[in-house]
Amino acid sequence: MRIPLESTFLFRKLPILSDERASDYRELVDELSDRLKPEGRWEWRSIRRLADKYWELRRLEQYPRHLIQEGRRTALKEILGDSAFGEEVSAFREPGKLVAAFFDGGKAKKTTYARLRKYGLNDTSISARAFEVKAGVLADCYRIITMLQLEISMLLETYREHQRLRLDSKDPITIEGDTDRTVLTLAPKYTEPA
Amino acid sequence: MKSSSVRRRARAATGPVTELGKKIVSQNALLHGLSVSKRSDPKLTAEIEERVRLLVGSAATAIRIVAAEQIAAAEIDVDRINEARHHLYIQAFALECKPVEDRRDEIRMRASSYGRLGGLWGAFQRLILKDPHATKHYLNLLQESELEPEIDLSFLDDDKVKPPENPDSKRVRSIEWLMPRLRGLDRYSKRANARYRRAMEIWRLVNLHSEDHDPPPPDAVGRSAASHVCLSPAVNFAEITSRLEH
Repeated sequence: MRIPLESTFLFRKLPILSDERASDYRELVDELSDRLKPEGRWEWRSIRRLADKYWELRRLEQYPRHLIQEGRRTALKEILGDSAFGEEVSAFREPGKLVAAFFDGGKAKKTTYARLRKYGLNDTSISARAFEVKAGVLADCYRIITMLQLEISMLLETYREHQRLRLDSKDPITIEGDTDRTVLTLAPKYTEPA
Repeated sequence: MKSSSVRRRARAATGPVTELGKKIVSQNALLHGLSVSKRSDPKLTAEIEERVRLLVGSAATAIRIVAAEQIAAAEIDVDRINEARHHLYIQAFALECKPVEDRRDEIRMRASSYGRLGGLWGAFQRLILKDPHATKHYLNLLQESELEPEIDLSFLDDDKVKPPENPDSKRVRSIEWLMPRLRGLDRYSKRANARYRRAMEIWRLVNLHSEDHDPPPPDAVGRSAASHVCLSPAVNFAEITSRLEH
């Protein structure tokens, strides 16, 4: 849906960081405006606010993946530096270098897995420790994500109310899918790190 | 019972005691300006008026204007918080990938403030070790700055330089910087959202009842509406509506 001339000023300054693409943001605005069919400046302003929220949500959805990936490095370093492994590992290599080699793939990965298996540990153990290491930041991250979802549903409710008033009808407008479904369909799903 | 213990604890908490503590706390409000009243800023007052006009449109009755004003004020609060959040994202991202060129001035400033010997190289070492990839660039800058590198550069030997950081750890560092700050904005965000929800509740009730030009009964508006427009629930709503309309 084309942004009317009177509302273009709302989209002059976009909330994108330098590693994000403005075209992706515009796509999101298009998607929202197609679904919600805004009219008038107030509704377009709501679209802008909704798009900002979804954009932030998408950004935040990426963070746990980074945190867990990084947490896995720290976790493996901690496991290898543990007293049980200490002697065996130091005889071979420094834990830091071994961790770097492990994440580069190749032979080091296989040998490390073999060593871990001796102590009843596996890849899940590394991930579990990673979650433990990053628990604080992850909790903050998920709390902010939940807050954002709440704000989005609130904004959609306001929007619906305004649209109902505009169309002067007693029946509420059905915006393609209900509030929750709209939140779920637009927000990307969280994918477990490989 | 609970409220009395809350009051007792509140009386005991009198804020910072030391001079330094008081000085630090006095700057808190300047951090993001979110605790500044909207009415004290003429720009924001004009913004509220504009939003009310957009929200109410042609169906402007006094009661609807009052309700729309609450929504507009709450919206502005939410927007201000969003702006503060976006600022934090920008700062975090700048931490993550600050280009080396941007540090040129920083290096020069440090060089001039530390003098040629001693502390200067200590500072440089710390800077360089933070970002080993930029080492060569820093050395070039040193030459440009006409600073004689009469120093032991052995710390740049391969085995002493930290292994190259993976991109994840840079991103994670910025996320770890960002999260507590975003959490700091949480209470403002919660407060603004609660205000917005209350305003919406009133807006819905007002719209529901104003369709047949019948003011909502006091019971229907309830406590939240009354508290939001700073009226006691006992006040006769019909009377207020007529007063507002005049």
